[in-house]
Amino acid sequence: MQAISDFIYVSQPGMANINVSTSIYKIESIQAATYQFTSYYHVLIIPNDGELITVIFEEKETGRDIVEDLKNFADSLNDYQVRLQLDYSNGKIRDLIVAHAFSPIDLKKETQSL
Amino acid sequence: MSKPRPQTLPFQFSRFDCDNYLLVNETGEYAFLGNSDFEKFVANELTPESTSYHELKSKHFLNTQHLAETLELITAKYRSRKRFISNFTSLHMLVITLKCCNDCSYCQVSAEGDDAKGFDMSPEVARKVVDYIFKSPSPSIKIEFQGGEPTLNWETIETTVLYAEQVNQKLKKNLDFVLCTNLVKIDTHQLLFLKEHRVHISTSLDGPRDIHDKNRLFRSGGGTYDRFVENLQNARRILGHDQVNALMTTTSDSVNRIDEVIAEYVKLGFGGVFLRSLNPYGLASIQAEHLGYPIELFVENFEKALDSIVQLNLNGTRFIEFYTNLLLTRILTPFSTGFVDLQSPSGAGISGAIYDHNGDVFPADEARMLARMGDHSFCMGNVFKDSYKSIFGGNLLREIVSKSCVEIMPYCSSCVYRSYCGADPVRNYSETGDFIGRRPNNDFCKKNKLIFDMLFRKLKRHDPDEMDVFWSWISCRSLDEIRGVVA
Repeated sequence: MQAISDFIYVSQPGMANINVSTSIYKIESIQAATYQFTSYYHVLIIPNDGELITVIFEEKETGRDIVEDLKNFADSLNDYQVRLQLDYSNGKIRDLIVAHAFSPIDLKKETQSL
Repeated sequence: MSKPRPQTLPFQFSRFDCDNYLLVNETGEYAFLGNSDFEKFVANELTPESTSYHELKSKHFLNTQHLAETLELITAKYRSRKRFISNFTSLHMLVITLKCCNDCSYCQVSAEGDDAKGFDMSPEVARKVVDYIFKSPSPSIKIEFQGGEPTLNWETIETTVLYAEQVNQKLKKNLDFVLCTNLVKIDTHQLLFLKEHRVHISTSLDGPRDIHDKNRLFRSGGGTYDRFVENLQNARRILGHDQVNALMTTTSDSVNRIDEVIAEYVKLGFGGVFLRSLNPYGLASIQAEHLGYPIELFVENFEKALDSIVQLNLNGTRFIEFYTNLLLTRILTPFSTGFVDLQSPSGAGISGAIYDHNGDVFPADEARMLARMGDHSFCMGNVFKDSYKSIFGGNLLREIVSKSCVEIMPYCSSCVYRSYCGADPVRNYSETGDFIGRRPNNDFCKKNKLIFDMLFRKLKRHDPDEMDVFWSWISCRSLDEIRGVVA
């Protein structure tokens, strides 16, 4: 049975990378998920072979549990992918709410095209 | 024919704890969902047999029919929450003088000595400022006198009040005045003027004598506590007890003694306290090493203090923590709340503006403080050189607004608390050099997220006594009224 840590490569203390499949996670999700780790890590996203992207984490200050942080990154990645999928399905509704709030539009007509 | 699948409506979410997700939508409604229900919900597989389904439907997280009508309702709520945008600038702060008789260790404006020259707003500048203030479309105008210590330039305060009242005779706006004073120099003659013109007082009290006197000192030496208390009593006697409010600033001297601060506020008869952390401006920034503390420690003690304040209320003393009250009003009601420091877009310039003693206009007090430190990036113009339109409709304010909407800011846009939160472009700029700033590790973001986390833990726990206290604050009613106890 595989574990998440099997996919985390710790090259040296405070430095690790993880490969992410772009057939499952969109680049927007990967970027958003990495952003929240930039307080503690320098992060670089680089293309790998085929559908894989490598995300490299380098600790800014020592003392972090990098494997645990990358597991949290994996959770965060899933969350951002869900957010992206939800945005595909209802992002236009959010736009309609904001537009109608400040400058009324024909909601009946607009919702028919959703 | 199969029934149409429910439509998921926009919302933000976060993993709240091991077993639950927290969801918040555009109108500020929230729901906790167990992990299993959350997974079904986002996969559009939640069925009416689930109790969550009906909660989500009633709170507009999902819709089953008549989408246009549902969106009308959602939009009305959204518009109500954003009402402050259409009202435009209502809070106008005037720097009456930069002179101050105090020499506070955390002074954010680097005030000048009380005999310094060239730092007073002249009556001529004040009248011009008032002319600009009344060009604001807002139906409500609050003029706040700031400093330095504004009472050291009393002539300009009188001029401003009388002239604003004169201008308002024609415009008939809701006009309020607030004098921000340390109270140490105010005299009976001045207090009688304030009473006659219904000017409220906002003052500063950091806690019991030793805490207050640690940082709030006379320039000539010695603590200001005794004089403060003496003049507080005089002010209340003349203006009325409730016309004087106080703010505290938490420093390293008080962060572990907040209970004593609360006790002092209760002892002196204040109806509540605004537990404020230190802001990184002026001397507070320079002396951060001595005055500062980890923001996590502040929030930890904030929670303990809130618990003791709730207990105080349950024991019969009505006492409000005002920041909690503000946030809970945003979470539990659909109403717009005016608080320029936590709005989206930021209230800087569009809800509040500050006029320096020379007529320079800034979007926020902190922006004026930056100018005092030599950075004039936020100066929107001057009332003698620039038109109202170029100041309040100019590129600078437009840029501030467009870069301070949490709905589109990195990290904020997906934050579960963004419907209740706001941005501080001035602070972002002072910390990072740009209006958008960097999260999640800045203190502004950390503090607010931790406080929201704490409040949502309380909401999830739903302790009946605690919720009664919270509702009594939000609804401005007594605990007995909330509990239906008839006298």
